[in-house]
Amino acid sequence: MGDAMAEIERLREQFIAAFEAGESPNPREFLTQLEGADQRELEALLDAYLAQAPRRRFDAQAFAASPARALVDDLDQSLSGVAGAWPVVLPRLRNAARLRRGDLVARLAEALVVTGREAKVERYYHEMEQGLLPPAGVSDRVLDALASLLHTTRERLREAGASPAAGGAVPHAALFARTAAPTDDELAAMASAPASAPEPEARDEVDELFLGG
Amino acid sequence: MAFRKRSEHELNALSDDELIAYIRDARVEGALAEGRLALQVLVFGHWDLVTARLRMKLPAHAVEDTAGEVIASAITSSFAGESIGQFKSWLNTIMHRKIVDFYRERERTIDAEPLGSEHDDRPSLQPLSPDDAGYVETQLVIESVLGELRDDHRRVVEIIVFQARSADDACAEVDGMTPDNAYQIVRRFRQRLRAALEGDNG
Repeated sequence: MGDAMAEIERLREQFIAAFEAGESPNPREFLTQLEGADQRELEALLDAYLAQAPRRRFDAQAFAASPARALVDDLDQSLSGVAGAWPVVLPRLRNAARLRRGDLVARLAEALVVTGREAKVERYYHEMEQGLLPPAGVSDRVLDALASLLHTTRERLREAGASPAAGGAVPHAALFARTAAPTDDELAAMASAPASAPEPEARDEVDELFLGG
Repeated sequence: MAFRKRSEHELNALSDDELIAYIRDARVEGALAEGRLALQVLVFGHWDLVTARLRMKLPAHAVEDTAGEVIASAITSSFAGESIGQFKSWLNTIMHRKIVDFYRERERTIDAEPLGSEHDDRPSLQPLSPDDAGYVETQLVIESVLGELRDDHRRVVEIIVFQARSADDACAEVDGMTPDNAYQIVRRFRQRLRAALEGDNG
């Protein structure tokens, strides 16, 4: 047992030294050097260390090359939107299911028995991935169909869509401040828009599925 | 109180909960670039910790997506006010739940798919804890063994074993502790942990 404890300690120290040097050591490579109870002990010790370890200091160069960067982009969208973590979760589930968005939309339309109206389904699904569609309006039928295509559950999708509080959402004024001021021509176009805008479409079954709850 | 822009150096020094409050304030004030930098500090700071822990529990192909979901859920929940303070313990709770969910979903998927299907990309190395029960058990064993210790001994174990700091640090923080005592406490903890992991709870 003394030898085993020394070996566990050696591997634990090696892992921690690499981690604290800013590397990303894979704990599995350390764990697979042991077996049985030795392996479980090292796993427990490494997990306890990682659970208490302080946050890594920010390093712009390492961040730029890290998957954390894409996560920040999606999270930024989540926090600006109304659909909780959908902008993070939906694209990742879709990628894991190896589905392009067009394929997913086609299968979703088929599952919802609204074939022929894929363009509208695509618009709504796009809004879901962008965090722009309020989750409360999306029906269980849609979420069940999506869950089946994405190998997950309706509950997990609902949970991911839990919305940040109003304090998290970016105020409209702030969003507007991100864009340049409109030109005179643009202002003129805005002023005339209502007169030339087409009549709103009548609400159909697809709208009900994504907006009606 | 008016929002005050902070440097990267200052952001690194903030706690997780202070960072979240800063991000929220920045967004409310329309200081989007400042809020984004703080979000980068928070996400980058936890990314390697979360992925390393998940690598011990999940097959390789599931690690990064699950890590993204864990961190995103913890941050969006904190924004929604569902978790007041203690971002890190909330992150731990969510991570545990996602691990449990992963194995439940995998069980369902494996039941539904024939063996050897093209989607069966599980790694040759199986998860070390083959189900959520194994993960929960390991956590409970650690808590149980720690719970048997006096407060000062528990603190010594936390400092030396879990925080990977020196016996000198433990002596500096715990009144009356000597390096020899600290070494003995850690040694006894490790022996007890080992016995508990082997199923000897006596």
